[in-house]
Amino acid sequence: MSTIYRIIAIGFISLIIGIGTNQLINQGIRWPILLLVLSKTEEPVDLIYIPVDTARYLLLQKGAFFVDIRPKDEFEIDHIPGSFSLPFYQYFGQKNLLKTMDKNKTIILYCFEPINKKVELLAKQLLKEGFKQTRILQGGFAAWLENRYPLEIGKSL
Amino acid sequence: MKTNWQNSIYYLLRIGFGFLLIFSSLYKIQSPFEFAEAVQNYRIFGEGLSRWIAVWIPYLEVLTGLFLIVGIWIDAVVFINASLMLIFLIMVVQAYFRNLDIQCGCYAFDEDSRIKITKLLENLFFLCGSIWLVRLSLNKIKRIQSIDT
Repeated sequence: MSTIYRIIAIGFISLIIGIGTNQLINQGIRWPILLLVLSKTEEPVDLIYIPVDTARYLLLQKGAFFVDIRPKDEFEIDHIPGSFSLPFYQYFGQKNLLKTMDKNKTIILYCFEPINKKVELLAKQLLKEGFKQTRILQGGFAAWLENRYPLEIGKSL
Repeated sequence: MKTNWQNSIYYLLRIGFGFLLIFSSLYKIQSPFEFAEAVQNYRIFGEGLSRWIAVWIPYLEVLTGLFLIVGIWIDAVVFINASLMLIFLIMVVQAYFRNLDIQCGCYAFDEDSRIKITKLLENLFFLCGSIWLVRLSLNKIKRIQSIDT
């Protein structure tokens, strides 16, 4: 086999192994995320950020469903009361996690950092799946902590 | 005498680059999203392409590294190795001259891996080594072919 064919073969094999392994490992970049990239032609999705004080009001009014996308161990330390733990990687691994959710309910996604690509990706994905009221917590969980709003400790329900 | 000396350098470079590639791929395999972000920070590739690169490059590094160590398809892997080193150097140089305050994303995500002139020199050194390896391998292949004929 000539050198050029060998180079192509190594490139191709490594791509296949890479895609395959990423579907299996916990923090892998899964198909939906890779394909999200290829579907650039679709209309851009406008993400809506919700200020932290409005989020708190909605929490008191029970008007929103809070989703924490941080890893489970971080969630268990502290989180917004009543929120649901949905680690980013887990969502793309088991997409039916929010299947039973009312699609008209307001969902507020948050991570720790004020700007986080994973939150934005998950928000785009949920909007695509019909959860039209998906919002992102402005400033992330860091802003919630800064405002000394109530916290909850322990596992997700 | 010269051949013996060249032979030692050849094996040293092969094993050295092999382990370097495997070592540098480890954190990229463990944290593909972080690596994708690091690639995107160079502002050459878009968000989408960066993720494909993050899925592909670490495994290309592992395979190339393994093949270099074991000695499989040497004629091909030395070229892949040199190409990788060239691409890394181009990325680092453009980031340096554009004054991008980013982490290199080469081995780990720590403060020390931010791009400085030493990083440029390090990459240049690796590129020179990889080109030398290509030359030595081609010479070796030619020698083997001439013995065969």
